[in-house]
Amino acid sequence: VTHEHDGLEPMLRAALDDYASHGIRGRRPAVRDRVLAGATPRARRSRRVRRVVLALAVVAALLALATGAAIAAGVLTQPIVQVPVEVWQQHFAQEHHGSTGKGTIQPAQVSGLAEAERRAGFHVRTLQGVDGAELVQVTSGSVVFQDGSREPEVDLEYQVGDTRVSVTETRDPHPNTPLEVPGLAPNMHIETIGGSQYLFQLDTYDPAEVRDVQFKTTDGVVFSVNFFGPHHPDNPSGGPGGVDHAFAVGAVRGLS
Amino acid sequence: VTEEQAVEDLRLGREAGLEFLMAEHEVRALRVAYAITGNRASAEDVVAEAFLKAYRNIGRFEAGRPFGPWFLRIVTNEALQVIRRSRRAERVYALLGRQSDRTPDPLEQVETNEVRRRVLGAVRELAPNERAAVTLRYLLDMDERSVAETLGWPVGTVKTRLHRARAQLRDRLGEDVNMDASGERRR
Repeated sequence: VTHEHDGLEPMLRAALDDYASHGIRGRRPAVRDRVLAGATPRARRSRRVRRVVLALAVVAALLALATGAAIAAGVLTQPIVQVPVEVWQQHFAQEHHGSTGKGTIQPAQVSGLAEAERRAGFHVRTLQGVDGAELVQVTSGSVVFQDGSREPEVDLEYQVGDTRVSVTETRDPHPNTPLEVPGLAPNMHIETIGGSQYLFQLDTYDPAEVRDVQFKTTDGVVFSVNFFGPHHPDNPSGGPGGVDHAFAVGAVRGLS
Repeated sequence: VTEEQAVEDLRLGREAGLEFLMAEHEVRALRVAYAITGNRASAEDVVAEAFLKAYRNIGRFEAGRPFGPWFLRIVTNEALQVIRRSRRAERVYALLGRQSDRTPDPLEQVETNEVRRRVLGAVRELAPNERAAVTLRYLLDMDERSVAETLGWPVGTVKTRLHRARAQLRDRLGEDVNMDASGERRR
């Protein structure tokens, strides 16, 4: 049996068809409800208007940086330290009573901001300081560990002009410790802005663009701010691109 | 109501157009999103978001062309974003010294056909882009050119990714690829 004539392709067709048709037997009322709820007049703002809003936000951020105007840092962060992988693993085991087990992500729920904050039990920071940031969705969930400990997390999805910004906030059970990183990939670096430290990850296709920024606040919440900008022409995956540095800095400083 | 009228309704901001397009395209889109993400709740998120994107960006849709392929492109890109977002979330857990458990989808757990279960498991192991290409090629039975148009990739990229995906699947499945659905060996 040659590769061209083996049973792989019919097997794939049958397995995928069976899987998809059993998993999705018909329309899902939740989809219709969410689409109709989301199709509000506000959501219909024209692309041009959103572009203008984005341009104004970027210009404002650049002017502030150029003139040295003091933009209050949105948050104060713990220092970021690089530690050997073994030390990193050892700390994890100590924190979880000798367990090296994994945390399980619990199913997340879409909710309102106040409800998400109540469930999380910590102050959820929002992009209040970013002009034109439109909160699209709030999701709250948690992570459970083998030792039974549970830590809450909140995910905020924003639209800022043509760019989507996702802010994931997860409580660290050890709020007073630095954010430990087991080494840095070539496209990662640590920046100090306004006395706070941030881990920047750059786009692999265009190092001038930022894909995400991670940090841990002094009250013990780990942030991952992810950017989904317009598609980069060098990226063959067809996926979104990053954002320029000023935009990323404006976003993390706009958190409060 | 025709699809063309429904699209025109959308351009005018009328929700009746959305109702029609959802009735026509929702199930197919859910199945594609489900096959790519492997999670029913994620598939619902993907399709709801894709309809909203279509609604907001209908001005970019070229009149007179079929809505389905344009919408499917939004769905697949959105599904790929969901996978990337989930990987980013895992990076946050990694920074906390954690790793998430990938609990298998309930349907994979109850799949009684052992060979088919292994096939689904092997598809799940593919890189997201390859999984998307395999889904369009074998779930929707699209030819390579249509897959390329839907995903916005050059045809050569589609060929390469499908070839790589099939090689990986053959490698993982071994002798299983010569079994038929009933578990009998193919001649």
